[in-house]
Amino acid sequence: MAISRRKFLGSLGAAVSVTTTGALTKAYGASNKQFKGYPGSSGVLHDTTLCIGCRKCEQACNKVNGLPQPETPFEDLKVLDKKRRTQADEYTVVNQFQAKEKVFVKKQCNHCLEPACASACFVKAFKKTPAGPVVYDADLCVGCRYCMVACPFEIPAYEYDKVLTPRVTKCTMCAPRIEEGKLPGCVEACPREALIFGEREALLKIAKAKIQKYPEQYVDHVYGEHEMGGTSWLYLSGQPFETIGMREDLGTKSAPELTSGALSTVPIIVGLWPVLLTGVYAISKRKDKIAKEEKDDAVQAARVQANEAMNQKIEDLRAKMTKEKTAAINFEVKKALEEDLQKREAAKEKQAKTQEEQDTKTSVELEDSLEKGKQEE
Amino acid sequence: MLKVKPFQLIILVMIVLLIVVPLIGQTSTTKSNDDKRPDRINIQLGEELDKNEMPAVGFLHDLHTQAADGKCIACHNEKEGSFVFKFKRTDEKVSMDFYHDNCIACHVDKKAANEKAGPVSAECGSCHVTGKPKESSWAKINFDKSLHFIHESSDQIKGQDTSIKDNCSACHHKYNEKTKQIFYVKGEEESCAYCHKTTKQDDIRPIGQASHNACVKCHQALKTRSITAGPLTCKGCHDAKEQEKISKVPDIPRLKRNQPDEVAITAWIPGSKATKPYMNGVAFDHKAHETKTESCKVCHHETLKKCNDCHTQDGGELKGGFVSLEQAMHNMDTSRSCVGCHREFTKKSDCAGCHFQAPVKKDNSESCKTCHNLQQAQLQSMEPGKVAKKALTDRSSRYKLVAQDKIPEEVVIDVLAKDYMPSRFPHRKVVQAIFKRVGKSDMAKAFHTDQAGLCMGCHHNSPKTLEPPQCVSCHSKKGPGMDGRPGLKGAYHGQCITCHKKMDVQAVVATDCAKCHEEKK
Repeated sequence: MAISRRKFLGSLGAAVSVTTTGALTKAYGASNKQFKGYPGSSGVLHDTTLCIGCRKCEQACNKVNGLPQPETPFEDLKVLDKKRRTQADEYTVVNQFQAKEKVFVKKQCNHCLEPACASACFVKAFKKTPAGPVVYDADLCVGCRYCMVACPFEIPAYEYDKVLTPRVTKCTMCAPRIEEGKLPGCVEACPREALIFGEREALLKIAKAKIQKYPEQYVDHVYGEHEMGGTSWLYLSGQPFETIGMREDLGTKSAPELTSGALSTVPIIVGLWPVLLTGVYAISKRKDKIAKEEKDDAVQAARVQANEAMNQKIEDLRAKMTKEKTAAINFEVKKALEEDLQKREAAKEKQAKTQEEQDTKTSVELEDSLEKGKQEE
Repeated sequence: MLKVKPFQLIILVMIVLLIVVPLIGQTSTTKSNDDKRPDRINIQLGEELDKNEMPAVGFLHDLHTQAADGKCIACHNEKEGSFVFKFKRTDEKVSMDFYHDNCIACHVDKKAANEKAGPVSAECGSCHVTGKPKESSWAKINFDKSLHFIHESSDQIKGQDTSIKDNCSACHHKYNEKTKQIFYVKGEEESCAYCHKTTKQDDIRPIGQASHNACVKCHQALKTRSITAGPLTCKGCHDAKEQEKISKVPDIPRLKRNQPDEVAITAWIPGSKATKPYMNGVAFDHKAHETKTESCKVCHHETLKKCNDCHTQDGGELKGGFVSLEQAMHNMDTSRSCVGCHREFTKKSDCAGCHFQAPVKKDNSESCKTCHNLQQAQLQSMEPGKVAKKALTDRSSRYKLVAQDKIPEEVVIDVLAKDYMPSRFPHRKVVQAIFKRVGKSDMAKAFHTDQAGLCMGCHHNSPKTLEPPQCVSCHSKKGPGMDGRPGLKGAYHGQCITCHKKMDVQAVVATDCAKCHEEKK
């Protein structure tokens, strides 16, 4: 096998990161076509320089939404001394700020173009309607209150006191009234027209025209035009927004846009992991198999080699032994022949004591040369 | 568990006391010395102090002036008839030893003479005070018209040129760059700050040196002759509390410098042949503006020359900072221009009721005519100053009043009566209150020559008339229009509440609904 385990895992990681970053760029690429809100959707322009802090909007909100009467009546303006936030039974509150001069600011749901609450809600209990309002469906809500955590404006409230049927509550921009062609309660009640209801695009134009017409009276910024990706509720101010309790650190990206990059990789990762892990398993499995085969082959080869060597050895031994045996036989034969010859000579001597000595000598010499030839053989 | 034995406790308490006690002493002493003084001069050689160096010396000038009996010469050298405001030297570089030798020598002498003296050697810490250098409470002195008059009318001040009756030449001078000498020309006096800037410019001394030399030296000379004179100490001029003690002359006569009473401001240069038509000239009441402004510098920021000497019609010249005459007179971003300065006045509570709600830029050709009323033909036929004078006298006699019976007494506003009873608006009372407040100001009267024009503060966008159209003609009962126009409710409340707020009408609180319209029961 040519690929090492390290190399394999490395390339695998690269492949995964390429796919995921590919997905990320795709998500950001899509953000160029930023969602600028539903065309023709409504909003409200709040000119804080006009607000006199009369709390008529709070009163109207209470009335049109059928909320319980508060302990202190709406005519009591002392409540403004304390900074308040929206409550389960108070969808809107007016707060007072002491900037260069006294400024009143109405607080309620800003009806983001791409709401954080809706993006955090996993049961889709919150929905941005094309008309503008962000509406809530209590039937779907499971009461996790993620929306309350997600909202950068700290708006949604929770009916903690209702044990069995708690709901998340917030301003609805009077969605039912808008459908009937009426104005939101607060807008209708405002004596100063510090709240103007209309198409968001038209409101933006009005706001910018006001800034241009009275440059000394306004901060050159429409709050909500871009904050958190834009909100349906827009604000004008004569003082820096930070000094009138409005966050300037939110950036211009909507909450879903901020999370979409990371969230868009979820399907890829979820889809890819089983395939990936199966692949990794199969590959490692295959690798084991190959290793085993290789081992078996090697063992086999070694065995064959050992056998051969053994055979060779045996053969050699056998050859050697045969040779030794032959030699021994020859030796014995010669010995026997010699003995036989001696015997025969002795007998001959006895017989040919008469025969000439010359004859005997020749016979011995003959015998010698014969032996020599045999040994050489 | 941990047990604290009595002797351990005692040691602990002692350690704590050892640390805390010296600190208590220190804080109390620093606190007593912390009073800011206007005469504190930091003596520090070099830009930054080395770690091993002693801290800078906080030199108290007034203390030393007192010790030297107000004699500058005790510490300051004289050069070319004026004091050098450096310690016992003229231009030389200074060393640490120089200060040590001279300061300590004097202190030793004083001590020997049994007088109150400063620290001598081996008392480093007395002068070199550790900790941050103390801040000075030094405040700029404003040589205002009152102070100028005191000096101008003094019999004791003698000018350089004794042949001239007044004493202007005692301070005012010009400078001859060739001979490097100062000289005086009657009628060409200018403000000190025109030449003497805050820092040294070429040969010209900074304003600090120039004024100290001129003022303090003169004060001293007078005092030696036992004549009441201005202060010799730092505190006398540069302490906010002391400044308040300087007497103010209530009615200051005009300064005399051959300035005109009336000026015809025009881009056309009188005497030259006009081939093209020029914008109508402006009759400018120079005399009235002199009394209303703090000093000449409010308008004449660089010299006392005429505006169009530097700010030419096309503005294409360096001497005018490339600011054309038109910009110089109309730029709203500076209080030096006519329009910019007048705009500041519109923010006053007497004017803001109407002016706050008027857009910054309102295209109104009529408003140009208010100032631009001198035709070129007139200017050519007569002396421009005289033309201006005539126009101004005409204007002041022009303030037209509106007869009381022409003002509706009460206006009932009932178009919106849903939750409230109709509002009975005391129209005449309000109008007369506005007339009264406008009548207090000559400037307002000069611009609002016709009282009928004041009606247009509320009845805006309508041509000047005593019978303006109803509010509902433009402002819809249905609510605000998407063209940015307020609805009827917003228009009424906006007009009334904003005006009350801006004109400080505290009797009517914005949130007191029933004050204007009773609630329906």
